[in-house]
Amino acid sequence: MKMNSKEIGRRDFLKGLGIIGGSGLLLATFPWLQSCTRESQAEIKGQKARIAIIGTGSRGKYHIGNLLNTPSAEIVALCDIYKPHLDEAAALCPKAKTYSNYHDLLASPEVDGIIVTCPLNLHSSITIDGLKAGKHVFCEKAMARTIGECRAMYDTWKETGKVLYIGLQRLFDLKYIKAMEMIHAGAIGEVTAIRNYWFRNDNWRRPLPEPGLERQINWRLYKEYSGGLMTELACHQLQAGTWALKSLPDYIMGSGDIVFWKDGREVYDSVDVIYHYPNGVKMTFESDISNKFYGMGEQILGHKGTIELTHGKYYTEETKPAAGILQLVNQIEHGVFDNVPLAGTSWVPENASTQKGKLIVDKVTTNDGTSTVGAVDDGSDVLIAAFCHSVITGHQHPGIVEEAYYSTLMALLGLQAMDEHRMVKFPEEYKIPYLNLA
Amino acid sequence: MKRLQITITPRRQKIELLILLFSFILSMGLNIYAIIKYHTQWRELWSELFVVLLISVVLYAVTVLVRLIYWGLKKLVETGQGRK
Repeated sequence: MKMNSKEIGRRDFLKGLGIIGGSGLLLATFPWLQSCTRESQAEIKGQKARIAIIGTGSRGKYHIGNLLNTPSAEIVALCDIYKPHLDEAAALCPKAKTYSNYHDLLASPEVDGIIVTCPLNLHSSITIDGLKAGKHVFCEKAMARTIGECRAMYDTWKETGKVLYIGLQRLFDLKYIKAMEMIHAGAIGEVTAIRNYWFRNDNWRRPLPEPGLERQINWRLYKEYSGGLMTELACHQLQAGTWALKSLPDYIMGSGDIVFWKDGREVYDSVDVIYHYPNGVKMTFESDISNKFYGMGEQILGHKGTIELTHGKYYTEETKPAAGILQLVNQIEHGVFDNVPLAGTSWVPENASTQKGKLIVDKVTTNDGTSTVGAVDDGSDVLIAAFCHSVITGHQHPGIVEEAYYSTLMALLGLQAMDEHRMVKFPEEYKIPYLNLA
Repeated sequence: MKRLQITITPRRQKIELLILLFSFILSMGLNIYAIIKYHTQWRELWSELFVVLLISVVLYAVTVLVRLIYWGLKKLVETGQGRK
């Protein structure tokens, strides 16, 4: 049987993980990867998860592409209140039934699982209704618009016992998994700081087919629907905090403003947030969408080295000394040619390291963070395949909801700190039983 | 046109080779000294051979330069004395 490029990508992913044979310490550390083992794949061979997509905008269509390349998936239904989007999606999967009311879709016994790709303010209600209707749910990130909604989704998931996935694809991105494995093994020593940044030069607007649809199409720009940069971008990167540190911040502070895109939007176009952890470690998130020079980056800093997650590279702090003879020549050269100082130097510029770094995995696919729909080979396809596996088996892999719950909470608490111009403490009542953090 | 003929005697060749050998030994000595001084690895005895050879050539070139200056000055002095 001929494999398509996506299948080859997934095969590379499994090979890269080194868990084709199953078991391993890796699965204990990253339990959500259990669906990726050969045994798990064999378990569902020939079976198909009947999937419906609620929200057929750009992200919905992106997932249709992923589902069409997933052998264990069958798209059986589509739902959207905006007909042009629904028609475009229906053209991609003509066998799927179309709905304009998601309640009607949830009533269908032909649907096993739903994928929620609606504006953020609808995530909670549709997910909760879906779980209560007995469907397995994949909800796009961020988890929800408010921390209360996140908690309601989490509680409903626990009550119903259904499968819930949140679209944090980094959990299925090989370079992130390997990097986290290295961090937990102490390769960069004690983690002392985490820096995240995401820069774009883009107004984040989508073209309007009709003037009256501004808030429906450009929902990311309005507070009623979205937390802006925090829920749309930061949410992905803040996950590194929980993942790498296995800890939660005790307080959060930040500042956000509309600096450049003063076009009637309500969400910030420039944000800086600091997450303070109980051991003094700080994680930062910085985003600006009027300058893209520095692109996107996630850096884990340890006392023995640095890992750049987005580039899949690591750098050591202890650089190898030059050969003795070269050091001697250098010393003689300095002794002969350097000026005799009248007083000791008080300041020496500490230039950035020029190390090229080492790749964490053999084949690294990097994304520059400019795509507003979805990047290629960023783990999304593996995540969708894992969801289909869970839909067929009914088995929820641990860690997926919990990681998303905390990353969304951190994004929303950062937003709260900026909105209220104050330091926000992490609310104890919102802690859940995960990594002994509750 | 007068043709210039330079003859390098076997003795001169031997001396030059000995000077080059001495330069190499001196460079090697510097390498050993540097390995001890900077606590680097002993495999630099051969891994840095290229640098050692380079330093040998530089040292040899320095001796050539010094000798040329010496012979030039000597010739000048001798010529001056001859005119008197």
